[in-house]
Amino acid sequence: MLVSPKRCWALVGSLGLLVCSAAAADRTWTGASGDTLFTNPGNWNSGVPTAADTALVGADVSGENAIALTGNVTREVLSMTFLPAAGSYLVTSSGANDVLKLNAGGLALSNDSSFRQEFSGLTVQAGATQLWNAKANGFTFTQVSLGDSNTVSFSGTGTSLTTRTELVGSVTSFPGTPSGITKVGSGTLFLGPASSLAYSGATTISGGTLLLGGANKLPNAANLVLGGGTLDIAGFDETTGKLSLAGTSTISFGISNTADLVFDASSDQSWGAFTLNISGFTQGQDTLRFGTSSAGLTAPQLAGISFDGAQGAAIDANGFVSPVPEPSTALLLGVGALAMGGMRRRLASRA
Amino acid sequence: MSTSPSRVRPLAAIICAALLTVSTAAFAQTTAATVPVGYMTYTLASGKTTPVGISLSESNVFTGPTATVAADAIGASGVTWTPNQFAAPGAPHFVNIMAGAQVGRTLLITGNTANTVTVTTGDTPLNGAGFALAVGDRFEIVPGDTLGTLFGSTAQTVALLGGASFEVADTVEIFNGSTFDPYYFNTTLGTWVAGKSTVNANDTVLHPWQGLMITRRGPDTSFVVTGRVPSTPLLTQLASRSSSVIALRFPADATLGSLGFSGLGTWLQGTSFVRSDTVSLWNGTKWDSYWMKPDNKWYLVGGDGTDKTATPIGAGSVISVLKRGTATGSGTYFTQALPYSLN
Repeated sequence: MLVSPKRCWALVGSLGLLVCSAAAADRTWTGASGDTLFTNPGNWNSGVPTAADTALVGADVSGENAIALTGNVTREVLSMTFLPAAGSYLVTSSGANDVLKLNAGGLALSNDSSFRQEFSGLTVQAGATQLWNAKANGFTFTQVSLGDSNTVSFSGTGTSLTTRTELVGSVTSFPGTPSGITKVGSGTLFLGPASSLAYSGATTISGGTLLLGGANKLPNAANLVLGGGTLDIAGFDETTGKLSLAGTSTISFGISNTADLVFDASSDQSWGAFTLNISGFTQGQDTLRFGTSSAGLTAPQLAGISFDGAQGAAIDANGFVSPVPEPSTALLLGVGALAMGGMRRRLASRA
Repeated sequence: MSTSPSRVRPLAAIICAALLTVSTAAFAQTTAATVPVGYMTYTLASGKTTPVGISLSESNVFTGPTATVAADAIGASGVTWTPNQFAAPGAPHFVNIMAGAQVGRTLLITGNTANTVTVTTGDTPLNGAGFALAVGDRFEIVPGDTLGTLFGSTAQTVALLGGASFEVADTVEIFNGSTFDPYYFNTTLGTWVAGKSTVNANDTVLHPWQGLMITRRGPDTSFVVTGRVPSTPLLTQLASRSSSVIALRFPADATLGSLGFSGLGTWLQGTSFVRSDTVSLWNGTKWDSYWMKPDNKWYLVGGDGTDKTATPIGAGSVISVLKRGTATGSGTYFTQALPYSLN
């Protein structure tokens, strides 16, 4: 007889015969023992969660608001949700390279509370392609492993210093696998000054803003896919792989006016009929480059670039892309050039 | 770049059994430093993971005073180096700062001109206020290691067991900031690779401060690393809010209490490990974590509550350090005092 785990307990109750020891369950953290240890059953209302269980984090009755992994092992749960009653938690370890592995495909990490949640000093590892939804109040991660061929989508609506999601340490993947990250939702994903992203899959921005907190935060070899969001380089230099468009998107240069943004030649990438808006670009100070030659972008791609609302762009022999002068400006420049030419001719005739 | 391992030998091949004292200043410009050279033996048990910190380095190829100092560059006088001779792929070199405020700092050379080396400084420039390398401070240039140069880069020279995948080969595991990347000698490709990658990783630079975890899948074995002992205190940068897996770079036994987490960096102590900095030691099968309480004594996480300050740490070992603070720059360095005298 095949019985789904969720039906096991009902059958036990009605028949008194069937025992199901591996049923998935929701386990809620209470912190009642006060020692913060993940492995202490006294901190959970129905036992320590295992690989198939959902870990729910509620109010911590001890007031510690900390969950600590210990023992140099990988603790697996299906998913983890911070309930509305949860305070501002620190999920951490004893420093022994502990890993919290999330197994669910789809939504695997959620923050329904009114506080940002911090995962610090332990590695949060994706066990599948997943959504980590910070909702309104954000997450902070210091060590993330994307695992083997997984994409983690970071979602949320927070945009402020205290509500955005922040990656402040290492984001890595298993070597030789195409893992990557995706920014979804309207909020901001901030890459802190000490962050280090190392994976070979794509970086995708489908919504909201991916905000750099330092120079060269994106993996150099990873391609960037802009599918409707904003890459804000905040005045920092950045070098990454090829750029493709899956939606009208924006690259903001920020306010420093000395930023250099470099992509690999992207003429073989799909841009569709989408527009790439470039904002905050100061010509002659900021630079935008695709490859090292005029073949870095195609003519249709250049036509799809808009610098602060002015459609069209040019690429020079070294791959640098700049705005095409507006017709009125071009006309004035042409008139000026003609005038200069006439002046030179007159000067030449006097000589 | 294919080379035979120059400093790693099977134990049986080692003839030299005593420390030798030689001049290491063959290329010295001004000062002839004399430090001991010798070897260290690492035993790898079958089926086990062994922490390996490489304590010995190659002899220096230059030592002298700094003539100029920039944020990420050091100039020397009286030299005519070949451009990028210290930054060739597969042949990395490091700068060791030998004196001054940054004594003990080790920096990877990324390029050089005839008289200047450019180095990787991270968030801590060479000329930062309050923590600066001064003109006249001595530095040296030392050849570094890669996976290929230390462990061998061909089927004929590799010192560890190769295989068709990381599951069956000996692995050299390097902490990437989140997890350990397993490197192994792929016998199909004939090179080192990482994990499921097929990219030649022979030239992967092994920073002297990096702790290596070697998992042995062949029979019990030993290997020997030859080289020169450190001759100054050492500075090692530790990531904030994260773990770092580092080598204890002195060829001398230590204890938790002797590590001296003080000096430039700050060390968080507390009644609970949860909000304290921690040090983890490999016990043969897993990491054991320790933290320092306000009484300045070390305690084992999940232990019996007794003082563990005297816990031994073997020479050539590796520690994992979790720093919970948010310090940057000079506040992130772990200082190790020179545990022996070179007089």
